[in-house]
Amino acid sequence: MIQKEVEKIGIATISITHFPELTEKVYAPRALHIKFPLGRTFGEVGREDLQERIVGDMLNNITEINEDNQIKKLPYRWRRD
Amino acid sequence: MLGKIKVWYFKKIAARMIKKHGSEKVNKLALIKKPMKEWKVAFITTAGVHLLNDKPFDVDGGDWGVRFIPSDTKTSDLMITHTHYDTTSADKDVNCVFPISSLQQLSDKKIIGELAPTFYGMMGYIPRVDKLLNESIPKILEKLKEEKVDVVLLSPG
Repeated sequence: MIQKEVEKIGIATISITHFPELTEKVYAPRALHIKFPLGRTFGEVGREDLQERIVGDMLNNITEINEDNQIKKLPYRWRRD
Repeated sequence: MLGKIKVWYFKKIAARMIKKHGSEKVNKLALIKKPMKEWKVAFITTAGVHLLNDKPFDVDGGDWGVRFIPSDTKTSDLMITHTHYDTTSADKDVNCVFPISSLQQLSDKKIIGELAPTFYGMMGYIPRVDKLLNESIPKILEKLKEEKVDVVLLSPG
């Protein structure tokens, strides 16, 4: 909801979701789905490498997602990455 | 186990809120023409992050307030007040939910233009959607405009 209001004033937005089935219903303008547990959106404690990669994914997808309300899946897996 | 039940329960509440208030679509995405190295970037999290010396969120009361967080804040000056998700990791490293260190580095490395002076902390359990829409969001929008922000990233909680 916050995201849509920001996008409506002409600022490009992107969010991360753990629950794409909910995000789909709320029509988030651009979203990335991460298969990590809620509360560890950018990975575990001290994983600066992963945190920076996921923030990078958010920035890159600001211009890569051109279609409205698209939710893109991120490739990371909780146990492996 | 308890954590899983909690997530399930609050997901149910979220689904109900979405059904009631979420159906509006943004017709046109905001397009950004300048390159990333010129972007001014802000961050909004609903993971319950706020400054140590700021007012904690009233989680049970469904606090709809927004806490401003200067983007040059050190992680040691931040804390989390939220009980609806497992904050064990985020309490140790706030970057798990609010990657302020990565953003500061991306700005230092000039991968992005700069960070907006203000970031925003909120607590994601907000049953009073009217207060969110009429009080908190206008405060955020006003600040974003004032600081001429190009891009906003959001993280959940």
